[in-house]
Amino acid sequence: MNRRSGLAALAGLALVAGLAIAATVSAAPNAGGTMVADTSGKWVKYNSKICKYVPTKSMGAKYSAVMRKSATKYKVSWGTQDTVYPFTLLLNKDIKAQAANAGLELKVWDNKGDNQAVNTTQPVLNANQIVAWKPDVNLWMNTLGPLTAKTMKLFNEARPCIPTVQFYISPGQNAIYFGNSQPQQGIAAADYAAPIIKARGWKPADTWIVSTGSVSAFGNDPGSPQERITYFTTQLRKLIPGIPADHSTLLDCNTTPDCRTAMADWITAHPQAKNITGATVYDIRSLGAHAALKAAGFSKNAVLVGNGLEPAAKALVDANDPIMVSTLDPGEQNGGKFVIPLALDILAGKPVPTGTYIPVKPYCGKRCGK
Amino acid sequence: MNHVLVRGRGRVVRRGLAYDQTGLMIAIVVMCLVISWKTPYFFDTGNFSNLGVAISYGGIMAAGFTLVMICGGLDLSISSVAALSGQALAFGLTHGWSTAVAIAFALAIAAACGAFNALLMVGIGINAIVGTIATQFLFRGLAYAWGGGGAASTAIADATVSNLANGKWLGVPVPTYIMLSVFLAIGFTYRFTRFGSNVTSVGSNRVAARRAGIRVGFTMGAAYVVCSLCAGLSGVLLVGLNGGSVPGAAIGIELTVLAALVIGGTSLSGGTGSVFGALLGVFALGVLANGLNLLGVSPFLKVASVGAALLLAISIDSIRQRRRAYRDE
Amino acid sequence: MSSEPILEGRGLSKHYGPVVALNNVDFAVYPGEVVALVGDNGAGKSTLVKILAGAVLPDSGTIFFSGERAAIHNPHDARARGIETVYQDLALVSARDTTANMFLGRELVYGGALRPLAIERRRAMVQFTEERLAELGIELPDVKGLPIDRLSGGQRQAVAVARATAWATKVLFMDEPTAALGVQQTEAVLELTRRVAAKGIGVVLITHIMPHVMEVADRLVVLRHGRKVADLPSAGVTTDDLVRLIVGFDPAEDHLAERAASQPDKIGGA
Repeated sequence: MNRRSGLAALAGLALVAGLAIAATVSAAPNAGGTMVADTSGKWVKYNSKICKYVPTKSMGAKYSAVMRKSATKYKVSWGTQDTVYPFTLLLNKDIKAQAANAGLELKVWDNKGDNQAVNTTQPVLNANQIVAWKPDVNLWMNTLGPLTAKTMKLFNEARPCIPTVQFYISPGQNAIYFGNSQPQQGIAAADYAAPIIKARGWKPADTWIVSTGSVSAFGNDPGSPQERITYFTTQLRKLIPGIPADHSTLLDCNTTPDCRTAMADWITAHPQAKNITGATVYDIRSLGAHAALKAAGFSKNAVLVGNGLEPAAKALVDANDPIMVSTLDPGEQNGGKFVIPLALDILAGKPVPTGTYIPVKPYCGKRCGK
Repeated sequence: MNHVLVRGRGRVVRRGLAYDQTGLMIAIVVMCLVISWKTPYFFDTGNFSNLGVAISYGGIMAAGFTLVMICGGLDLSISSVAALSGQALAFGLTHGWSTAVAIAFALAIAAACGAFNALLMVGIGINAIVGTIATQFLFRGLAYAWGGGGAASTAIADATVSNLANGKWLGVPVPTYIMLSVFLAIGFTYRFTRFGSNVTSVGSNRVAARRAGIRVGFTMGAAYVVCSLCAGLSGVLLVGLNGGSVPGAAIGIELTVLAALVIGGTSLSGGTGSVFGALLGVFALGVLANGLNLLGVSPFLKVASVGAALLLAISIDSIRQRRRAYRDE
Repeated sequence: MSSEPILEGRGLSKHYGPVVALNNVDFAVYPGEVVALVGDNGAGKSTLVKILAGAVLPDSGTIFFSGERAAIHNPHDARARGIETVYQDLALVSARDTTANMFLGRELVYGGALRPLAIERRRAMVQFTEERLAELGIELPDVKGLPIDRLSGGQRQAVAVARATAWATKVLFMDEPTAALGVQQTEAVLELTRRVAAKGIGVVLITHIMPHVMEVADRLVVLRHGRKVADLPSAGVTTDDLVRLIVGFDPAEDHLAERAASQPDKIGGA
């Protein structure tokens, strides 16, 4: 065998070996995948010398989250809101999976923020423990506004630096945001509902926008889940001009039976409302509104867009229900595929957006493509 | 023979329809008049139908809760029992059981919860407030854990369950019939049977009851089981109302139920009470909420109104109790 | 009054830890008599009554009923033999009416007596109650529907006594029945006591109020520190005598003290 053919054979072997390795690597779940998220448009870089995010040139409206294996086994802390709600469970699961794929050391703390007893001491306890653990990057989901300042202070004062990614709450104090964009959810719901309403030939003058939320529970600050409804209403009016200015309202209710009663009583008090459409903060509420509309005899003259992909709502959409036409899939099951690459980018000193939003998809069941 | 004892004053009071209920009934009538004066939509069969549905699931719980309260106990775990029963029903239906069997299973789970409560509060003697708050968390946790975990709901489209919640018979919603039947059964038992007498005796003076040979433990235990059964029935109804079993169902309902009872004349310290009064209380709170909705009142005011009603009822109850104490010379 | 006791306890003893409540006490109740059981606090009166009424088990001793050994191990055993007790706290249910209290734990029901869901026979119970009260000359505003917490203290006492006598066919124990009552009501209760005894029932009255004892008792039994120190007919006994028996004051002992006082040296010695 002469040298040239020997080299060629070697190259061939190397190529085959390389392909095999690449195949193995890409066959591993999600290793090497890329997801695209929306961004706030503003970008920053984490400067570990001064322990601060500093503004940098904008890389645009989209962020490419490139999943890859990390050379260094970084320590990543994940302070999750709770271990009870379906969306949090999905988020927790995916973050754990992706951290394992990337070869990172992930440690989880439970902030116990579920509905039963909104815990006002656990987050602070957890924050102290996290600081003591000295993670390389901190993922933090505590949706109790008043505690944000306190816990962020702990993280920002820690040395060595702990860069933090805040989940689902308006970040302040040197953190970047990850989660759903409330405006985006509202707009996506309106974008989905409008064509259906048009196809059903509703008269805008007889149409009312009645959404279910809870001002008394969430408040009306920017970033609160209530914002979804405001953006839904504004976007829907844009797409369907002619709906009178006073034809929109919010029903404040927290449980399915309460929302059913609230919607039923609203219908009773507004016999002139021929067509009703609405968004919701979460499906638990929209299911109640649905029950009331159905009991009152509404069908093609009602269009509800749910939120959260609750199984009962999903079942209605699958069954081609005339009223519940969709429920927004907030995409938490892919949360890790965005946030682990984000963490790795932060650690590599790469530019990251100040706000990264999981794209929201309306679940459409059999309706998709119609 | 000399009649040596002094005649006492003291009004004749019939056990069922006490003086208290007359005042409440007048208040309800006044409320209805004020609401229909302010909105034309109150006095409407459709609205009454909605009202009948709205008060049904809380009302069923109130009937059983009254029994426990009169007996001197308290059960704050009813909301969780309802949710757990709902999960049991969903489990049965998604595993292909017949509707009747699944409902029976759900009620059996509820009865088991009641028996567990009885074991703690009656058998061991744990303070009812602390004990039933603990079981409230325990049962709620079990509801979350069942069916895959977390707060995910299970869609249920069973026709019978749906009809129980959404059906109508002779123009009246089925849930209303169910609620009235429960009140009738419990009210009759309380008023006319020996068990009902024992409930009052045990609640009023447990020591005296025991000395008289009344089985105190059995009476109290049975009251807890009846209360949980009512919560379980309410949970089954909620599955139909919600379109599925929601582990987070009925959270917080116990305070509304408590308010209804106290408004209706049942004492927080046990011994005296009225099942009919509880029904009136449920109705009063339902009319109040309905009126506030129809009038488009601010949500914050709505939240405050139940609290205000409860506060009013507790104040009246305290005044009644003090008057009773001062009656002794 | 017959010569055989209807209820008798022989050699009854009871201790609670190191404290001896009763020490080898014999006690008998005869039909148709009122026997007063007196003594200072802690003398053992309540314990003795509780043993004979089945509420407490003695450490030793035997109980005889109608001349035969009786196993009275719980209140039910006692009540089954027609032995009833009116305790100091009356054991009445204040939220319920007189009829309900009369029949507490023994309600008349249709059908089987064991089912808890048996429907009560209200009318029969009301009639029975009215008859019992009339027999004892007790007048109440209403036996049906009026919770007894609206009655006066004396009336409540009367209800308790009426209940006990309605079911006590043989023996009635009354623990401090007049302690909380005014003059007129006390008279009424004592009168009741005599009427009950007149029916042939043996009445045991625990009391520490001397005048009341002297008014109704046919016989006196005195306990001191758990022992019986006297058992005698009441005729001819003065209040003074009674006090001495209760307190244990012995004139002979008084002389000892006088002698001691007049000879200080002897007393000063070790």
